[in-house]
Amino acid sequence: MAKKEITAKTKLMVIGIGNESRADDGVGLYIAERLEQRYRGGIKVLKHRGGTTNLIHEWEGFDKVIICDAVHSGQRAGFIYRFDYPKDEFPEEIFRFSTHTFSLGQVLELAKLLNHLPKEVIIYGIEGKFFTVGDRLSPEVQESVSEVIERIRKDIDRGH
Amino acid sequence: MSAKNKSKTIKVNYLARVEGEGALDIKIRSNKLQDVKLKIFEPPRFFEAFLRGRDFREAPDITARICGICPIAYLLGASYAMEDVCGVKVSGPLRALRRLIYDGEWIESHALHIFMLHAPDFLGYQSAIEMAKDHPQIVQNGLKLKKYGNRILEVLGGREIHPVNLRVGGFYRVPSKHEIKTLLDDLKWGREAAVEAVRWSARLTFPDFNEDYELVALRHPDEYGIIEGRITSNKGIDAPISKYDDCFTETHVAHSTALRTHVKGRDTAFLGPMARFNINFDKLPVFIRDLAKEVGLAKGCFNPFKSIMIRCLEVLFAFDEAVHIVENYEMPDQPAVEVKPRAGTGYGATEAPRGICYHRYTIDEEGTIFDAKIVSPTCVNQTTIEKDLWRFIEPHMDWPVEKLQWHCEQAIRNYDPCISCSTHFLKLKVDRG
Repeated sequence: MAKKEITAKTKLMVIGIGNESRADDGVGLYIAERLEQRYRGGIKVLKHRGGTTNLIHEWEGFDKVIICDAVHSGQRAGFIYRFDYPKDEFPEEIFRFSTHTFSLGQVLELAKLLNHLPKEVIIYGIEGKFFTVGDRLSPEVQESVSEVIERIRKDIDRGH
Repeated sequence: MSAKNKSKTIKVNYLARVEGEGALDIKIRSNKLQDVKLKIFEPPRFFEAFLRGRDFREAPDITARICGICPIAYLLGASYAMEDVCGVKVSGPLRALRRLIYDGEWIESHALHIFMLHAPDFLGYQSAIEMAKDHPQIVQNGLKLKKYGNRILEVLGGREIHPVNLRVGGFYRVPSKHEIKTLLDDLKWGREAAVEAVRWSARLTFPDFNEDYELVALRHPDEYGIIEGRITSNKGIDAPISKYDDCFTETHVAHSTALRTHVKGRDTAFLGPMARFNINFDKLPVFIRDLAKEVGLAKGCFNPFKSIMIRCLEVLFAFDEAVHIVENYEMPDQPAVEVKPRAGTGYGATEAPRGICYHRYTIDEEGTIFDAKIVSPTCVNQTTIEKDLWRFIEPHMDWPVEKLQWHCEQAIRNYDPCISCSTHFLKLKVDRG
């Protein structure tokens, strides 16, 4: 149950956010799991299911953070959004959140106000089809996973 | 919202900065307050029903899903109830670990509420985000306090949300001395920061709103009541947990999926930090009692708006107790006491951050659950909140709607309502005609 150790050279973190019991809401966690297997400890990967305010502490000390989460915007299922925060306009309302925690957008804004934002924050949003109870991704979302992973790989390689 | 000359209907369709979903309707006709309805519209949660047929050892993990902010209240409430029916007592270092993980829950829940949900009301901000622009240090400290509370849950429970390491009888694994001592420096920082939080909270402005509540909390002969005790009130209740159902009555109202609770033969009950503080004041460490007096709080506080101060005092208490437990920790020989099922009914009640959380289960000789009853503190407080709103609104009906709405929301947040778990269900009858 111990947290993964952060090495002195690890300045990049990939964060997958979601709930794997809610079908496509698990896509962020699924991508994080795939990256963890791919990089085998070479980068810090966080699978985050809980309160979003904790993210401000989780990314403390990291220069670059790449976040993956499901979105619900009305686009076709599997559509991939990429945002460079805060440079790009960030439509926080499309990122799913509950009434029991702060949204990702609120946490990013809070981090910015408190000077706790990493130098580079990249956010991938993958349009989900189903958010009901279930432990599988829909086929359209599953199909997008490889492309997201490839794009993240390029983000990781660029300047790391 | 609409306002007419002599009649007003104020609807707050979605209450902000509370856990879950709720709404408030206020009706004023001919300058008289006609109706106040606090509406809970979380979907009915069928926990009490689907626990039937499950194994008694599953109750802690299943009921923990009722609440992501206060899972320990359910994990331990269910565990104590099952240990009660099985005739088992958890004591010594295992009991100390239970106190410690509960301290963690109080810290993270209270810190979130104090600094992110309630402080904006007192300082005139719509949200913690807005507040952070002008008061970054308050928000920073609040988040740090919450983080250290979460760390306790992580080290002892395996993770912050729905900890996985607790079971009937104790734990699956207990931390080593080294593991637990990694918490110490952060806890000491938290204790110092909590002292400053108490003093900060005392500088807030509070409405003059004192009422003759029946305050109900657990009282223990040796400690500030958290995980065990007798149900105690300032108006005469002094009963073992097994007599909880004799102390209260519950009714169903049309506008809410949560049952309404009254003290039997009397009025509403007030659960939570202010109740605990009044009933257990003498069990606080001397330095905390002195600090309470320094900031103008002593036993006998009946102003629910000052609950924010009392939550700060409880955060301090929790950090202080956590430091003592960690400094004196001896690793238990076994992570849990063996628990063999036996037929009967068991009772458990602990002090969730919001007040007494009650569990009752009936199991058979094989440990299969036949019946379950779970009462969350927000469920009990709901009627009291509505009464507060009546009393608050009546003398202020001439206020502009926006000002009235603001203060009503602030009044509701005095109770830190956890609406997502305030729906323990009545008997369900399906009429197929």
